Amino acid sequence: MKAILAAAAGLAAAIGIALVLVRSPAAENDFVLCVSRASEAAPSQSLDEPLFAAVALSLTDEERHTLENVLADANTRWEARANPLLDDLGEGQPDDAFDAWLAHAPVGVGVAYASSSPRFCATDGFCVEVLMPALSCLPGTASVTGKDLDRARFLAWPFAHAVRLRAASEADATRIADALRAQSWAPSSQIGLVLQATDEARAREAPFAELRERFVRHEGLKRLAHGGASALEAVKNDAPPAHTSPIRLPLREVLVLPRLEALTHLEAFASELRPYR
Amino acid sequence: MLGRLSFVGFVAAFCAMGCGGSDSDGAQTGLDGVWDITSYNTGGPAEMVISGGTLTGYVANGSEGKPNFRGHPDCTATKNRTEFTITASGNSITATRTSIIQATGASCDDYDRDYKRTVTFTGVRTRTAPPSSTELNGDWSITGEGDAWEATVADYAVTAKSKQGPKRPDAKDEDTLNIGAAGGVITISSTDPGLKFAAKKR
Repeated sequence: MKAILAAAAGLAAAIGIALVLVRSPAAENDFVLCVSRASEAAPSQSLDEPLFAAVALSLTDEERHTLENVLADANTRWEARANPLLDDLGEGQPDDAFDAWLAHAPVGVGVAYASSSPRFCATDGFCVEVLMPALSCLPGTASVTGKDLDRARFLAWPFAHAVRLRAASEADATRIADALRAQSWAPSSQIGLVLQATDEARAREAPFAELRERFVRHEGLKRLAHGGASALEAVKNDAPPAHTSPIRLPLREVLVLPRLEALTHLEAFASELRPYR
Repeated sequence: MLGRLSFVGFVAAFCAMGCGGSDSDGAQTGLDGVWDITSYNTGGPAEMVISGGTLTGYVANGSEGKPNFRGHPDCTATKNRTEFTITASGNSITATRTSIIQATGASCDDYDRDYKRTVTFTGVRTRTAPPSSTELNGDWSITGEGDAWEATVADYAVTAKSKQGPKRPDAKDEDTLNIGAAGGVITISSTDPGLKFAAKKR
């Protein structure tokens, strides 16, 4: 079904696009985009603490419980593989059910994973790294300019088109973030994922703590099975996955990442956020 | 003749509206060329190429080029991707989807060392509707992978319904796909959450 739709849509869209090739509007944030030529593949993606916390807070109760159960089953399998005294007797791979959940996960999960890469690369080695505002590009990378700008913004779309809202207080920022998360559940919404500085602390408390514990354990066990030297310590110490995203939010700020579809509906995305500006 | 008229062929009908040349800023507006693709879940680089009336492309899995393939410490997937081709001619369309895995290393599973599977889909338009944003409007009968679908293309929306019904009681047998186009970008999103991507010409 997907292939059929993709084929049909590819045809229709490819034709339609010729009519609308114009320059993209400017983004309303000041993330720094740095470009480089990379020959090596980008590291594997895993959600770091800010992205995971934002996802946890964006799920409905039912979605959260489902994910908790999926992770519990996967962890049992990974633990069996990590323990030389146990055998993993399950069929398939430990993460088969988790991968199936991801394939049909709420939109915020997809946006979080799309945002988790430290580098956004095209097939020809053109890569974009995203830095927090006011930072300088690292050696070996260069600030994006000229005709590369549109391409860089397309590849690094979650941040290039993100909107940063500044609230009057930390409490206001939390209220706005929660309101936008509820808004993002509407199928017609262009909001992908909402992040705020208090997310990480909230994700450690009920009712999110159970999900966080299972997720941290899952990521640690998976790295352990793949030979990561520090994975066992990470599991023991309840350490989150290493920071990979460029997200460091001031307390009064709310960061709103768009859905992928918003790339062709940027006005609608902006309209949704207008009441909070 | 298959491949003679596909995307660019269709687009020829729209050239009176400005495609195939340059806009006032000098930006190229034709479809021929290489397009970047990005999505929620490709995990790896992806592209499509439109050339001479045929669209080809691939989407690499995030594990391509990385060690520890499927958790095996001495196994690297040098290739783990889906390749696709699409050709269209008037009232017919052919699409192929090929899954490829090429893994090297002592601990790789044998079936991962050189896996390749191609599925072909063919479609015939059974009713032509007046063109609007596309010339593909109308009803299509599509077959492939042991199934058959009825699809309707209406402007920027495509609806496909399986003739055989859902394969499992909890599965859907119908998807609607919406297409967006703005700012030189196209986006594809479907009621099936797994299918969402965007493309932009380099």
